[in-house]
Amino acid sequence: MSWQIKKQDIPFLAIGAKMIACGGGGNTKTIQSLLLSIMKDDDVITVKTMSDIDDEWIVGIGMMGSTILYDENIPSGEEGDQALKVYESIVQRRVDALISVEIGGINALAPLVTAVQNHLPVVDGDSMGRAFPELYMTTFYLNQIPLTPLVLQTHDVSEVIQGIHDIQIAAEKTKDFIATNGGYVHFVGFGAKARKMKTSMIPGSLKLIYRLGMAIKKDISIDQKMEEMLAVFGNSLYGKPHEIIRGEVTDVSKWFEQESLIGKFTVEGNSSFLNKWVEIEFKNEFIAIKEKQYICTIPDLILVLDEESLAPYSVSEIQEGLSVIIFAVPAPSIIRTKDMLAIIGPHNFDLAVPSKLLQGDCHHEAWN
Amino acid sequence: MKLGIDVGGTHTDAVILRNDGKLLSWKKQLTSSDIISSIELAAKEVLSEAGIAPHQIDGVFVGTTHVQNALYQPVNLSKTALVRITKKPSLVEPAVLWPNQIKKYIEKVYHLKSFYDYTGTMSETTTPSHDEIKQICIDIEKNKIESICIVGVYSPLYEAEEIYIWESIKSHLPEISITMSHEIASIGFIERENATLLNAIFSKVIRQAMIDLSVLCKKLLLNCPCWITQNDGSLMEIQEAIDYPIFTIGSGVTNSFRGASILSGLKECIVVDFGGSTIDIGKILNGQPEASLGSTSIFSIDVNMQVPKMYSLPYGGGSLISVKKESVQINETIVSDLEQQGISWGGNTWTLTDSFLKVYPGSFSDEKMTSKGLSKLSTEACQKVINKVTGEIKEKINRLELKSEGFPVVLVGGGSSLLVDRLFGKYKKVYHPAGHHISNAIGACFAPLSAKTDKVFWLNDRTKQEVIEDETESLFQQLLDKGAKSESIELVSIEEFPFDYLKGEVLRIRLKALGDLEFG
Repeated sequence: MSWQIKKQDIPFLAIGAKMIACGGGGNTKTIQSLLLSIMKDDDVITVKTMSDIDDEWIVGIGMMGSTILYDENIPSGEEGDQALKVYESIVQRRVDALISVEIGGINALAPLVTAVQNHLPVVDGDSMGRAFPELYMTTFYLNQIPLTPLVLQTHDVSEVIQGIHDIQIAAEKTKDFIATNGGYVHFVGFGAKARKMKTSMIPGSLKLIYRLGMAIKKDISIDQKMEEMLAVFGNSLYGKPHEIIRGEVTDVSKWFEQESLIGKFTVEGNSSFLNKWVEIEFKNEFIAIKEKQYICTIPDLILVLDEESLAPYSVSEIQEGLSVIIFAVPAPSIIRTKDMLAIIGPHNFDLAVPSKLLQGDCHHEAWN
Repeated sequence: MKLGIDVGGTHTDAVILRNDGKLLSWKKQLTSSDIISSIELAAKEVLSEAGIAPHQIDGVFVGTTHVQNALYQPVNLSKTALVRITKKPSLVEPAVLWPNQIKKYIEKVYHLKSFYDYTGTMSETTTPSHDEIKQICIDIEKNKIESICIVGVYSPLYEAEEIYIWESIKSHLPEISITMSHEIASIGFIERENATLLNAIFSKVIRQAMIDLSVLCKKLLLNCPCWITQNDGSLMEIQEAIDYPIFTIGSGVTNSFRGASILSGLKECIVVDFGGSTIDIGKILNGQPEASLGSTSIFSIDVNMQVPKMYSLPYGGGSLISVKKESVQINETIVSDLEQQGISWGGNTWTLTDSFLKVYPGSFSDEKMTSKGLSKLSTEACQKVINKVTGEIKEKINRLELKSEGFPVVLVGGGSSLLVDRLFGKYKKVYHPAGHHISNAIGACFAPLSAKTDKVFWLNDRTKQEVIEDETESLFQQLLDKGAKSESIELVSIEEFPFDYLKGEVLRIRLKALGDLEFG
């Protein structure tokens, strides 16, 4: 059943998108401000669920590149709309609905901007189920939805990438364009028929971030928030969250390598986790939890939340002295398949972890 | 000799300290509405009590919570125009999530085109035309705008565009106050715009008091330098305080934390400042108040500038207590004068202080106090108040302190006597130093000079190390120029913020150096 997004829902979506991004995906503040600026109080965005779509032509829409530059050289807010028009003129058909490529961070909200401006519906789903750094780390790619034709749009330039079937080459061309055109772009690509789209996407992820945001923004006690958050995940394609530790961040080390923010930090347990400690590794996103040995690795989700409010932390916000609660959430089985793990498993993030650990279904016993 | 002054919401304190730190005299005055007359009164009294002639004073050090108070009670704010320099006018509106009582001061928004690329190359050789700027100036005059805020994209990397616009506007409107964003905050357009707008809107708030202050110094024959303390606890000149009022927003609290460190002799400690309207809890590391990292918020407005890292409880010694449906509440309302209205002073208002005195009558006393009224209060209700207050303070202390540190706690502020022996058992050292009630004014006297930079560098022809060395050298020179002892100058922090998902070497570097003032 389709549902609706109103202006007052935007802050919930923004915080939920940040949570599911597991530390990456960029800050959702700028795009939240953009949406709150362009939406009138009575504006409504229709969200179509898997059962509502059938014959529509659907495209992915979002931004790529440096999110820091996105927050500095703020978008005009019309880039998505411009890219969509260019896309439509190339494929010579009208786009009927928009979908998020990445439900973690900025890209969860990017389709909403263009949807408001064009009175288009959005589809409740995405192709990452969280945040990932590369266009090929998507269920769309795995299900052979072609990335191209891909339209890249800056404040004043558009570029079309087409006729390239190898996604790695197309992605490389995109990155080259980004580097010489302002450091980030808006894009429209991964176009497909609804019939193809609905079997290729991770369904329900937009509703999930909305409900997560509602749960942690409610004016209720921390225990109640936690209960609601667990209930939201319990009622989704994601597994049951496991509380790994509550404690304090110590020993943060960060460095910069191959366009990525890499590093690790330690969490020393308190209260019921006294005398326990874990190490969290990150590469743009939180990618692994280690307690003597690895106990959780990407693509399973690692949520680092403020102990007092459950508000999520991004990788760049991690600093010594923060009081945090860490949850590990089994990723939807769609992205834990063997094929998917080949492109988003630990070795893609330079983690030397025996692959059998990945198959661990996050059984509770395993955590103790 | 140093003259330290703290202008608080209710009281203005003055102290005279010898350069070795010995306290010679102190005075307390009720803060006057014009600020300056209470400063004058307190300064005169403290000088005469210490028997010190004005020429013996080497420096005047002033801290104030005045700008911070203006956030809560908006008075004397300026009608402001925002000039955005962007690639394209953005649909993102300014001040989207601001409270209305401050947002309404943003009167006009103008757009100018930015010609910079993030690599620092100009995409076109033209700049905004003089006609365009002239039109804006005419409109600004027509709308009786009092303050202008210029925010240019990439200005933390390249400030030239903001300066060009600033110069052009100044040539038309030489009198108007203009704030440029690159002088206020770092990368992140919206948060920098927020901080810059706040500075512009608050530009009048302490302007007159600061101008009066330099006049007062001359009148009192204080011919020494006069300094204002800023958010990070370091000193700035009066003109800087006039130009950057937003930098004084955390001044009072930082001074109090530093004062606690000086009074207790502790270089590492947690400080609890128990004031009349708030209880502030912060940390001293290596003798310096700890600053926040990354974004923070002022009055629920997101900004990306440094403020003291602290927790503030929304109540203090003067907060009203009420019982509703059997539950005891601490209200945010404050009595205007505790020593008139508080039950312990013969008044009929039940305050937080009275609750402590009911349960622990010996906490402190003065000749005006009477225990008569306290017998009417319920001991149980008062104990609940105490439990809530001490519980919340302890929780904040726990959040500030890293487990390994085991820092002692220093209690300062007018209400701090109430907390002695109440907070912890034997397992934690708690200090309550003499002079605790004037720690703000004392802390101001020990504030260091600082120089900092927070810029984005493109590492084309230099290595990161070379950039840091060049910038450090220029910071050290700035400190020497301001009058720092050369042997005291040191680089206290180096932070790097890499850019993700971007090819090429671009890096944000934040450096800060401190030095002590050289005397005589």
